[in-house]
Amino acid sequence: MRILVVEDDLILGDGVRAGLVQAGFGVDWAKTCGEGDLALETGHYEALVLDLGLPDSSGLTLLQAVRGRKNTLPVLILTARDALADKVQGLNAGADDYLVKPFELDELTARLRALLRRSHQRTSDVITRKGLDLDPSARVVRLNGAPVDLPAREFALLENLLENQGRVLSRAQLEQSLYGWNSEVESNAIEVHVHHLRKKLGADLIRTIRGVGYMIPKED
Amino acid sequence: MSLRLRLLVSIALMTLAVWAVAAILSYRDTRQEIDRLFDAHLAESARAILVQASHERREAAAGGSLEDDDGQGDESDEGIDEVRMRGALLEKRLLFQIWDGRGNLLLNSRSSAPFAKTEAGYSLLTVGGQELRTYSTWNAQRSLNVQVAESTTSRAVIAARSVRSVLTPIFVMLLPLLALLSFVIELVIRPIQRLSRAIDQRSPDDLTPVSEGDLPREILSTVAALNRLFARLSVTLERERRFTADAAHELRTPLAAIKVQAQVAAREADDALRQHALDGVAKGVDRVTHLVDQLLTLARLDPDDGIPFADVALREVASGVIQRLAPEAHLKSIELSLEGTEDHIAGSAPLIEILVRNLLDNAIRYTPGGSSVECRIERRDLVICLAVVDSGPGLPKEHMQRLGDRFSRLSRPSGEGSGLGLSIVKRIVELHGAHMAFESRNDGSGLSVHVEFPCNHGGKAR
Repeated sequence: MRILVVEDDLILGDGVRAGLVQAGFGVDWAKTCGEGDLALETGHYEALVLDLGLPDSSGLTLLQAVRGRKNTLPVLILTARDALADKVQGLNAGADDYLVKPFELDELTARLRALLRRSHQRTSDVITRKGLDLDPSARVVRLNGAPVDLPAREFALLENLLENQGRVLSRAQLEQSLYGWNSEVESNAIEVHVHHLRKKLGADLIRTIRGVGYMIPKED
Repeated sequence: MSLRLRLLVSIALMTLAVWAVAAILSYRDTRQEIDRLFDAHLAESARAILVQASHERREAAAGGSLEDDDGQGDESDEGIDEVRMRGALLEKRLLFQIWDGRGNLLLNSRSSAPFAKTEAGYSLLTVGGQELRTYSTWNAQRSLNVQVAESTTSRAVIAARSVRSVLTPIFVMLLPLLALLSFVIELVIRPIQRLSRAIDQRSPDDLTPVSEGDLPREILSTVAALNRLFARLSVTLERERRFTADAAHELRTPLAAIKVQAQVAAREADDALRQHALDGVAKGVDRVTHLVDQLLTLARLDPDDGIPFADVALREVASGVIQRLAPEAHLKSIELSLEGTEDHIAGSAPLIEILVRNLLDNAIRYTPGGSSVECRIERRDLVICLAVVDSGPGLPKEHMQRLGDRFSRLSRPSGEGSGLGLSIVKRIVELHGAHMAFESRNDGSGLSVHVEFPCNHGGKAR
């Protein structure tokens, strides 16, 4: 679950990044419109958290550029302006949701999850599959009703694979979604996480597509 | 005192004064006219009596003294005439005396005591407290003198009566006139009252211009001035409103940062990460504090009440600021320097200090470590120029004009500056009637800020 945060305020950006990492997201943080645009063109993100008051140009400009490229990426706007006109302007420019500063970290993650759910066309947050339940907001995985203890990275990896059932995710994609730009990833990190997941959840859940990556097949 | 009452009273008083003068003049005129008429009549009566007396005297010369004539058949006609004449004279309140050539009183009208003999012609006598107008005339032989007298009281009474008859209707009209005046004044000041009502009923934030519709020309200039004031006020208010909104929004970002960092810290298990988040909280609080300080400084600079000016030694002030900023600059390995003349300007020393501090603060903040920031004071013709020159990355031309806009941080990363420093500088520059300019070197690097103060004629260059 990789998310791009575009925020020029150093302290706020740092806090949002840390908060979203705590919530199990992989986060990249861009400090200007230009950086944000570059990141969107080169990386794959599940959602965009966008501050409107950016130094080089308004966040709305970036938003319009994104929508102009027919990109349906879920976008949540952070704004200091709470006038109705400002909200309407943001939503009209193609934002999916907005939060007025200052906001609760929990509300930010909950809204992000709601956006992601909608973009995966699910009605419930909980992903269910053959006796396996994953609740992203409660950060709980149950196997046949019994909770399974998963570290954050394994949880995020499983969540990512379950979100994309039937699709093969490359190791690079998985790495990207688990780690931000600045994290150093060991070359076999994904393999280690998959190994642990198989031990805890059963060997046949995650399939290895040799030379390509991993997938969880769709249920019949 | 209301305009209406003032008009009414002054018009009433003026009317009365004009009438009083008119009455006095008219009385004098009338009195002269009456005098002339009565005098003519007096003379005529005297001559008539003289003719009569001469005739009787001739009769007497023929047949005895004037007194002895009474009752004599021959002269009964004259006697009746005399009685008739006396009656007529009495009716007119005429008195008369007849004298002979030697100055003996021959006859006087019975109703009166004798009065003094006078020269020929008109004269005035006072007899028993009463003023008499007399006329005296001689016959051709100067053997008979007739003196006629009449009280002047009747003349005064008649003159007064005629003036009164003119004044009475005017006095009767005074009240209706005042009522009419009051009504007319009401009509005239109605637009003014409407105007004041309209202004009274305005809501405090309604600064739309007052309609100049049917207002009299005399008030139009006032209304135009009022409308100009409204226009200026609405510009000021709009600026204040926008500033308040901007300030509130500007506070929200650091508040959001503090909140987020605090929440991250609360749920972070890793000690190092939690410490990092807590540092973020502290930095956020510093930011808000700085922002609030700057806002307060700006707010204190905003009112237009005069700021006391004194002689300010620019170099002294700058030197003090540099001493205080030196440790911070040293941390960033930035070399601070000061050079220039010891010129004085007229200004407020505390404000100039804030100005210099903000300029140097900005320069230190946006200059990379290892370079230099220079403060120069120069005298150029009629201005004294304070320049702060940094060797930082400079600014693109298109951004220069946005410098000094409130909360504009341009492309410089935020998280430190409030975006208010230059707004404060700009305001102080305005308050000192100074001029501010920005420029970068030709290669676009470095930023120098020039503030040109008008020369202080009191302080001399040394």
